[in-house]
Amino acid sequence: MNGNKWYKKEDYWAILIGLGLIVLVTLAFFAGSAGIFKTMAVNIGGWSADLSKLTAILSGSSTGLISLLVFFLIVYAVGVKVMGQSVPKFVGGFIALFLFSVLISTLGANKYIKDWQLETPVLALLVGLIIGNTFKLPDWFHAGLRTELYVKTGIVLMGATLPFTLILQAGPVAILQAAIVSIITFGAIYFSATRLFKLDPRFGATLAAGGSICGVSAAIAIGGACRAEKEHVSVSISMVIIWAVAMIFLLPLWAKLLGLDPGPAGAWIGTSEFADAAGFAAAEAIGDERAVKAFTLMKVIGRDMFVGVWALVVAVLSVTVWENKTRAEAEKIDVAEIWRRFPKFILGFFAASVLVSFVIASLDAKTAAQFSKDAIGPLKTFRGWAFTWTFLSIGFTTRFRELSSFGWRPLAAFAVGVAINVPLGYLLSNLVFVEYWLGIK
Amino acid sequence: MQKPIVNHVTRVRLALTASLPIDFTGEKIQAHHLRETGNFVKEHYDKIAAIMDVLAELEFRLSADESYIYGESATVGAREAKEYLLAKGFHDRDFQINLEYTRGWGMM
Repeated sequence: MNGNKWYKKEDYWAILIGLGLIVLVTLAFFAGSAGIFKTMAVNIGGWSADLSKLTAILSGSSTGLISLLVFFLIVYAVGVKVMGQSVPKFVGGFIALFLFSVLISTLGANKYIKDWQLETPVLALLVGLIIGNTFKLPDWFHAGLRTELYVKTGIVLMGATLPFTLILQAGPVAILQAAIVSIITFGAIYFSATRLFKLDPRFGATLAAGGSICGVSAAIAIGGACRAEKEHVSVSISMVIIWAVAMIFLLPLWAKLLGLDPGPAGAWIGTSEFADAAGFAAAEAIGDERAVKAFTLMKVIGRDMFVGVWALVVAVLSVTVWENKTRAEAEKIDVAEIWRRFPKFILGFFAASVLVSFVIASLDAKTAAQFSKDAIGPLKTFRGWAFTWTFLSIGFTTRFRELSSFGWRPLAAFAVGVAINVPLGYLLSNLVFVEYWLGIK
Repeated sequence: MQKPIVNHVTRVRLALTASLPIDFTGEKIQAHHLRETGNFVKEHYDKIAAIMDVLAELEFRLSADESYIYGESATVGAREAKEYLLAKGFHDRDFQINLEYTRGWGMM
């Protein structure tokens, strides 16, 4: 509808920034200037108790870190400016967030901290949660905590590391697995909410969407589509956040205790975690790229992509069944609802995969290997930084005392969904479709 | 003060065009057909104008493009707006309502 300009939405900025970066790195590779981006792509090396080694690592990375900060600060600030938000506040907030991310990445590279299974994602979350729930953070700092913008940029960059052929092969399996889990979990939460706990059907649908489709984004999309009350959407989001944060720690822990391979573990997280950002944190905590790939295929392709279809179905139900009207007399629902609620950043993810796959396919084997090292390598590192900013932002912004208060009934209905979703996700990822997920390279 | 978890925008859309009750492709078109069409269009526009008055009462911000009139509010809920319009005698098919929630603060 009117006043809904594309350039005011962070989905499109994530696409522009992610794809723009991929194009720049690709052009630099062919111009023989890939070194610029290789310098910026800082991976902080491992260290133990030797502080002189740490000093050497950090001083050797200083030029790269400064250029990384300046580059992302500029591109994000342009987006923030066009979206109509305060650039000075964002600049301060992003610089502070970046410094935190350097600190966390440095600590995460420490041998002793790694021995405690505190990899960078988990460390970023823990530090963010502790600080965010203990201290009152200044407004200017909050302006830099753009969880969704960072995670979406990371997902678009993720597309560059996934061959399009893999996406095409994964599509049917991921969609089938997601459909099974989403429909069963949605039904379990919706029917327990409305039949057992006598909640309003719109509230039940919003809770069910949060627990089965794609977390907060789904609660927002479905809450809007079925015109749920604002407080019902807030309670549903609170449920998603509480369970999603718990699952960031629990799913990787269970996967390790059960001795799961990275592919099935990632697919399980993609099936049973509630939000994209939280899911990436959990998948990264597995500590293997295959888990992140399986997670992305499962969550982004299998689940996120279909939120628009769910929204259309629920919107039609809302104006007909829940308002006791026939289709002929009910308010007209536009099929455009599917596109309106579709998470647009997914297009950037696909475009990134197609672009990079096309470039690699057009090169001879030797140049393609060099491209993977000099171009895709830095893009993976930038993705890692985008996710570290995401995990820190989740931690800093998840203030439990600011979540909505809720009664036991929505909590119980959501818990029914979790009790079904988690074991079902395990069965599908580790038994039914295990061969496929084991094949992810 | 606690910040809201979600914000909302309620948008009401009114179509400027409507399906005409007369088939102009028929061979025997007559003057009275145009007069009837004129009356139909006038009724349609009168109805849209009346809905716009109601939306203005609710302090919706009004705008338009070549096909639609839009009303937008960040304070009135979608169901509240619909109930109000129905209570004023309008019907479900006279308008389309879209409710959009956005994150209130930068959470996941």
